[in-house]
Amino acid sequence: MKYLLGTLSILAALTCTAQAETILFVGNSFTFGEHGTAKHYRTREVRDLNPPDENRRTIGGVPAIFKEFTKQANLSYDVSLETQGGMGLDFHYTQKLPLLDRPWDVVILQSYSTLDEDRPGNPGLLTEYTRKFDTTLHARNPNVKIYLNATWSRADMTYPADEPWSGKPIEQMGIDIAAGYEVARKASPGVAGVVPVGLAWNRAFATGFADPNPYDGIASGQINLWAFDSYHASDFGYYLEALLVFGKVTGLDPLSLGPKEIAASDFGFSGAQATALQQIAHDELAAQK
Amino acid sequence: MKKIFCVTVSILALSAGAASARTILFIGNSFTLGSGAAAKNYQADTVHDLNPPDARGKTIGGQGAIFKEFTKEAGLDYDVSVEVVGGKNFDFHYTEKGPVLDRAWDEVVMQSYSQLNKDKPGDPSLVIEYSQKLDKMFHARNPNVKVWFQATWSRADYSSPEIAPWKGKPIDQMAKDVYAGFEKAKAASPDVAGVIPVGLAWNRAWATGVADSDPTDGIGAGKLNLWTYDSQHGSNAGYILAGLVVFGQITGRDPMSLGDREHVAMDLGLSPAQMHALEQVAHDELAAHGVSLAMN
Repeated sequence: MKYLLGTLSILAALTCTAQAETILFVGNSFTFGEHGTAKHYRTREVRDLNPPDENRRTIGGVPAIFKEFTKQANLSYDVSLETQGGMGLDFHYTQKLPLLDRPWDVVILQSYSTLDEDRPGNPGLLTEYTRKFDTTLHARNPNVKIYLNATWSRADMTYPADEPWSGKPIEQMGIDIAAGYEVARKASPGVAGVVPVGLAWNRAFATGFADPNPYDGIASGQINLWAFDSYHASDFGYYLEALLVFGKVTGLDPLSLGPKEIAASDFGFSGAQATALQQIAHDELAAQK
Repeated sequence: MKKIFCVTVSILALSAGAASARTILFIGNSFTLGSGAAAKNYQADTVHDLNPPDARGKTIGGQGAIFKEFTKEAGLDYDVSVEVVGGKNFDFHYTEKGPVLDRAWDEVVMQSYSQLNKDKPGDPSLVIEYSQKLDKMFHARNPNVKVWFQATWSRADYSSPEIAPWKGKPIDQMAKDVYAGFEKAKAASPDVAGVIPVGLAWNRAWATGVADSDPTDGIGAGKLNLWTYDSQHGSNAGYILAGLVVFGQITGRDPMSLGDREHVAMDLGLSPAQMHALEQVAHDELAAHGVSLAMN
């Protein structure tokens, strides 16, 4: 009897594992949560495919926030990530393919913040490697859903002089990055869609929730989506990113997570702030349909 | 032979570590547990939470875990325990938590209600009464225990009736009054080691332009907000500053010895320049109180 129970529980455990959708996040510091407490958030809930750092720590980041959201929504996702600071999809494809070339159910690809380090805004390299990933991943699982994570405007490339987006409205880089990812998507028919993270940031500026210019201070009642370097995201920014990925991948409304959402509370957000971020994610995803 | 030698050495190392670790207990409420900031759950597995886990199985990191990380980086060995309950004062900890607190500690850091008394803001009588009882209890267990008061910061949530006496006064006044209240409590409990000037360090951060003293009109360019969204509890920066002052006071190590690329700061999203500024503030505040600080 004891043996039977043991067998049953093993079967039950296996069944659960079989039902979990696998999702892989590929990206750089914008995915792993650099300068946010998000970086080491719930690292034990996700699989970091890269080795731990010199302090034996692994990454949580946006994938761990996503995992926390799905748990609260009673969804079962087995979350993996492969991230490397300052790198684009070309690096991941040429250097990390043995880790990535598996049958995933969902893959989120995030490339260099300017699309191309040497040619800011040029989608050529992104398009080329999106196509390679598309071909490789579909060969492993014909039903894999690949999403491209189109990231945000960098204040440090907009407000200071002699930067690629200097003098342009803060929204422009986010718009250009989204357009570049659209080019890549159209060139890879197997790609399921673009996650409009940067456009959601623009919406947060437009609605007055977030301050569009951190260089002149943060206005009363507004939050800063960027970290101290006005380049990477703050926990608010990474949270918004994770909400967009969650909505896009699961099809569930980010607002369904509610004001008492756990990751928001872990980062020290108020219920009102969590709701505002979820509303922005909701509105941006709705606008894309 | 090599194997046997290694095993023996590591067992010796373990017992030496355990024997030399100083025990420290943090008693307090939401200001010690890090409410409103990611500090709350920071490295919770490095400290002992003497209270049960919350509904989600989580225990508290907060100021205890920040202190623990600082001491690790300084090469010091502290065994850190925390006993914190939101919205509570010394009377609660003494009457309700005696069984978990009544042990032989090397150091105890006690943090009271943020306005000293919930019903009579600014009145230190309850704090004085129960710090005498707690002090007596701790000294009965260990005559050499060092008991400290953590005097916390001014609140800017002026719509709250809890801080009505300070409405319209300069922002640094509440911290001064809370500190003065603890000075009275120390006078009434001569065995108490001292008052840790956390709130006065916040005042210094505003005076020196490191932090913005008025969140109602936004946060000035390049400045930190030491409060979280409710303008009452700390932000990560506020809790880190508190942790730096506590660290310097307890260990005698200069907060600046932790360096700009300190782990807590990096984990909680502060830049090296911001951390450097907070360490300088903590250093200056402790120096102003005559605390001698060593770099190693």
